[in-house]
Amino acid sequence: MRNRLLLLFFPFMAAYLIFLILPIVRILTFNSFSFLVGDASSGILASIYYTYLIALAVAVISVLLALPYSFVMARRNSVPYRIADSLVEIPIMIPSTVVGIMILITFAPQMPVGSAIARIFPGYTFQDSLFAVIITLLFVSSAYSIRIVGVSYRQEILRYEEEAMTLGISDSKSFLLLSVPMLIKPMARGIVLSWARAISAVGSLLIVAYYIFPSFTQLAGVFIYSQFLGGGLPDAAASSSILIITGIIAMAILRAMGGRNAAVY
Amino acid sequence: MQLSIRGLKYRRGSFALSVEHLDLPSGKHFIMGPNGSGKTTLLKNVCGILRPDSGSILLDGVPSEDRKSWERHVAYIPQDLLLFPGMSVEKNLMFPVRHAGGSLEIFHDMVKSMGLEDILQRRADQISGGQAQRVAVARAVISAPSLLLMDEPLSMQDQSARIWILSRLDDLMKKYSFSIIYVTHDQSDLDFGYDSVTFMDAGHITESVTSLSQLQEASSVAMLHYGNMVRINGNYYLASDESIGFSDSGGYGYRWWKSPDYSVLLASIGGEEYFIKTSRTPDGKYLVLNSGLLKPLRHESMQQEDKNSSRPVQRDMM
Repeated sequence: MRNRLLLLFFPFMAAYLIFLILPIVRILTFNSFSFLVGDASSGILASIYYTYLIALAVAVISVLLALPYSFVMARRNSVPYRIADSLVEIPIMIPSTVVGIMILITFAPQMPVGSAIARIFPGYTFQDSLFAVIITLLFVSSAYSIRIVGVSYRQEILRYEEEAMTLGISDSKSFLLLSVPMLIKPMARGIVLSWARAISAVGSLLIVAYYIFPSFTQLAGVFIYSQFLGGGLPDAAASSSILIITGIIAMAILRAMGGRNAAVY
Repeated sequence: MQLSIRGLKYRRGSFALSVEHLDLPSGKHFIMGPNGSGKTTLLKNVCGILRPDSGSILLDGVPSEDRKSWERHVAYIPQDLLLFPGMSVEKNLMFPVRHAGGSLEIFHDMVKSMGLEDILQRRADQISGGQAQRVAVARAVISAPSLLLMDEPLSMQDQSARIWILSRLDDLMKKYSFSIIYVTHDQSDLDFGYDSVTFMDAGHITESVTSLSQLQEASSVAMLHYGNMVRINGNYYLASDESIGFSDSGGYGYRWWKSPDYSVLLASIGGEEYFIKTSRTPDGKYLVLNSGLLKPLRHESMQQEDKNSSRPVQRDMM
């Protein structure tokens, strides 16, 4: 029976994997290697560097926010808290360009929140700033960290903390000495996912930060989009290939670091 | 520690725990009941993992329902033990010493008495189930509780290993002055003596008995069966029809009840009371145990202790 099911399901599994792999293979083989080398001087490498760096910063901020968020939510089960918790997933379903518009009409200096910030920080600008990029990417990518850390904490780790408390250890000590080390692995997973989501954001960045002033840097997704509009498919495909290759390497490094950090004791 | 509960109510989803009145003085108390009867929920309310919706939990007369769990001195051992994964056994045991009011003296004592010397440096998630249960009990005792809640932590043990831990627990309870509330499905655990047995069903306490005569009259008695375990000079034996005799001149004091198929003896041996079931009808004033025909209960750690002990099994009970 089990083998029959295996035979039945295998083609679906294989078809799905081919569906995933085929476009990746296609873009990696679309241009010649020499064309890729030539495209490396187009500015894509610098763009990728800044993109990864900013995405990593955003992912780390997401995970740091996930810790206190999970701590509170794991201890509150009333309806208002459950409603608030369900809001976390909303950014995932909102189209990226809509996110850009939402962020812009919230944080631009002439808007309510933006004007409040401008009163505290005179000369505050939002559009095309690094701050705008970070806020926007945080909005679209933080849900992944929040969910991974929150679910791990609530379903796997909290009971160890509760056990420690019955041994006389205070809640803050139990959380810091027991739960936080146990959360390293889910935090690493959260960083990888939030980082990957932040890198893939384009539509929202087109609205809030086409360039990042004053360096005129474009994040990778925007850079490739502008290449596609200006230089056509070959240039955009070549830069995409470089982004994918470096992305696979970077993700492997992040995963390896997460695996090592999981063994904390 | 004395536990008193008044009007405790706790509801989550379709399950409701309701304990109108429960008084458990210092000592060893058992809670029994079918799955889903609220035993674990009651223990979690007592130790502070769960907060009751209403009612009072008095620990030594002090209202504690609003006290933090780490302020109650009530240690809890769950069925899945919850040893801290990734830490060594030693770090698990030392955790309440380093970060709370645990006792280093008890740590040394527990490591020795529970036979944990050889596994101290091993990771807690890489030891056997039986070893993990000993570590969990040791860690709870090291935290110096006034009340120890045990939620079937030994249910996965084979009988002799469970007896080995339970017998030490009794000694530790006296040595370090804590009380025990022990949830169990295994009626033979009662053979180790008890101060009360509380029966629960559907979130309520149905009965609470404190003596054998009450137990005989309790409607929940059908939940019990009688093991034939006896403890003599620190070692455990199974009594059988062949090893049991009766005499009018000397032996152990006992009481007995006749059921349609067998007799139940309540025998007082070495100051502790045991249930012994036999097909024989008592025909003498005293119970006599033939040590040569008693079946010793063995465990690797018990054997180790036997090597260190020169005390023989009593021969004068013949």
